[in-house]
Amino acid sequence: MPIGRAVSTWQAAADVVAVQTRLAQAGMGMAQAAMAGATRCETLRHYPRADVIDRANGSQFYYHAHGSRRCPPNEHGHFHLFARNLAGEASFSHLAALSLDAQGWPLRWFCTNRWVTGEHWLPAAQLIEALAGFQPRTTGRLAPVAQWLAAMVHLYADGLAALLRRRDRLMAGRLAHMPAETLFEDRRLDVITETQVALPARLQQLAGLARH
Amino acid sequence: MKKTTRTAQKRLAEALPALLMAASLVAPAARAADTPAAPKPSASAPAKAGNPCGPSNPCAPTQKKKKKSADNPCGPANPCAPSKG
Repeated sequence: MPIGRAVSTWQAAADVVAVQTRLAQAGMGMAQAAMAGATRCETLRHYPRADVIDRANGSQFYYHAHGSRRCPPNEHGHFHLFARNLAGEASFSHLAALSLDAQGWPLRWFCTNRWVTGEHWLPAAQLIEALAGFQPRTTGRLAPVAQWLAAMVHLYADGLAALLRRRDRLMAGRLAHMPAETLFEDRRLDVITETQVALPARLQQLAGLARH
Repeated sequence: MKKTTRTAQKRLAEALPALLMAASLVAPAARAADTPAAPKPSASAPAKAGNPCGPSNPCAPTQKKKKKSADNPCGPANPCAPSKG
């Protein structure tokens, strides 16, 4: 592992722990924090309503909740992470989504089909590059959520890169059998790839506390 | 192992129990299904473009409508689209 990446991973782990601990000590999990003070969770509503958009570095995210066939039964909701302006002004591309349980522990990262977000579809290589720059900054009560998300992206950088490359491989395989527009708009295909997240185990492993 | 890595690992090992302890006491967030249905908008409320996931900014450019699928006639075109900002 390159030294730069190693330092970044430690910093990311420290940020994840610091933010989540601070919120938890105030009685709040990440799901509740993501709802930015809302006491009720309305299906499909964006939290925050106008998303967190950092125009300076082209990062955008929001949290919401809705059912899906592939949704884990214990999922509370999920973040959608975007990179803006990669394919021209006002364009947005979906980097990944991260689902949480009701206590706010991450459950899975996943990639979606194009129709789900109406994104400008880009190949994995470009998205992986953009992931490194995902550093949304905001003020107010969502500032720690933005910091935590950026840290999670760095902590799981390798897994996310693999997830996006697998997405492209799966889509390429299907494109051999159907037109691109049909595939990208196929309502039966929402989640293309996903990977489970066990954050406590990942942190324990990094801290050298994992059981062997 | 380099000294900086050992230090970072030690700090993480020290911080982790506090997180696990505090997180275990966190009450679950209210689920979408747990909450009563959203109140109907008042007559004076600005109408949304029929897309519950569309841009929340009322001045955002209208999103291009996509064809609805046959298997989900009421589904929004892009249920997870971000706000246009």
